[in-house]
Amino acid sequence: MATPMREHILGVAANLFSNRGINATSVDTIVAEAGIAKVTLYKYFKSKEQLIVEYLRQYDDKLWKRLKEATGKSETAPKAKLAGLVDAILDWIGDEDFKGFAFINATVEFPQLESTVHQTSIEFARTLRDTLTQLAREAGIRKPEALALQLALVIEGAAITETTQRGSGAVDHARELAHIVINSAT
Amino acid sequence: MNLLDSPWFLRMVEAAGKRPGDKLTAIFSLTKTWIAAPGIREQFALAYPPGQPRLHPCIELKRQLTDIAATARAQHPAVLASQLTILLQGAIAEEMRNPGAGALDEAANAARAVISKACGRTGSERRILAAGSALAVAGLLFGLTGLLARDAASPAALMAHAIRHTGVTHAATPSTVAISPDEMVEFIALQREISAGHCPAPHLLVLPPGQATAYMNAVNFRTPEDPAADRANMRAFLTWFKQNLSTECYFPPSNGHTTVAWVKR
Repeated sequence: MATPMREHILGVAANLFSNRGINATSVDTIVAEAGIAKVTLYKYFKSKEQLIVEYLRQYDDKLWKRLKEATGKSETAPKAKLAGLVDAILDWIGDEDFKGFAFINATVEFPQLESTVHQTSIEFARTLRDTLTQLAREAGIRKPEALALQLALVIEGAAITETTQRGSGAVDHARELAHIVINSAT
Repeated sequence: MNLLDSPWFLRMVEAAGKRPGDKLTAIFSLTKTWIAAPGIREQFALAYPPGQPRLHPCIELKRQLTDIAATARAQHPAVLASQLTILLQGAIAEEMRNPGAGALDEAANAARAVISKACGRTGSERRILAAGSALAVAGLLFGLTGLLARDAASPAALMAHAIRHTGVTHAATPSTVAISPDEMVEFIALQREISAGHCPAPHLLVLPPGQATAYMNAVNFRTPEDPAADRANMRAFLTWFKQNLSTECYFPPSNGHTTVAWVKR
């Protein structure tokens, strides 16, 4: 049920979560920032947890929309497809307002395995890894899981380096690294 | 705490082999062993509050890797160093999340590909690279011992804290490790009591030469020349201390009180 008010609350919350961290953002802060009453927030979201899960879902949708746009029109050779996907993810990391992957940050903030937020985050991270594995398999790589893991490490390392040292060229270095890894995989 | 830039880690990388390629790939095996040491995961959790980037930029490590890459005649040493640290940061994050899923091993595999591409290595040299870095692993925990013994206030305390509260003893130790984590913990605890003045320091002249060397290696975080012999000597030293000097240890009450009651008349 996407109403303008719901979208407004979610937008404000997403902004605060990604800039300040999820745990550091209280419901009071969200309410104050959004200029609404607390009751209004709870009318649209049952709990802070639900708000967090929605935020993660929206982030995931946005990421995949962007990745599909970037890879949809690219080459059909499986290895090139794989490289295209990694490039698109690295472009996402290179964005000025990139603050780390929301689902990765959330697993750090919610380490308890049984928490809904943790489980949702793990699910999103797994989708990314599975897609990489699938493309590697289509490309006829002998150990698709190993290549997918290597690429995931490149992506996460680039995300960490880029957020801690903006403008160090990490994204470009990671891109070259990913291409070498893909091309040398048999 | 910035492990990746700590002097002992940089020294371990430097000592990891003769060939520059061995040194470059050693950062992964060294880190793998380090993370497996008891209490380290807990240290991460304490040292890095949630939501913050887990690792510092590791500028010193990058500088050292750049120098090594230059001696390996890499086309762009700084770029290669940056790529290796990207892999390392990603692998540590993954290893912290999914322990034992082989993140650091796969990172090392990816590193070999990128090193051989950057330095124009042949297939046979690549295989030699793959066999490298065992030496580095052997010395790692010894370096760690030294680091913790020197900075007893933070990591060692954290480690002891973690062990007390979680009962972690980590019996599974990689076979190449010079000294077992349990012995290391025992030694660190002893060293703390000695520096605090609670236990007498051993007279090095009365110790057998091998044990004195092992003791000084651990105190000064030196890499032993012969890790296996050093381990045996360390074990012998700890047993000897327990039998001969531990009775002279005195632990004052932790609440700061003494047994003497001062009564004002």
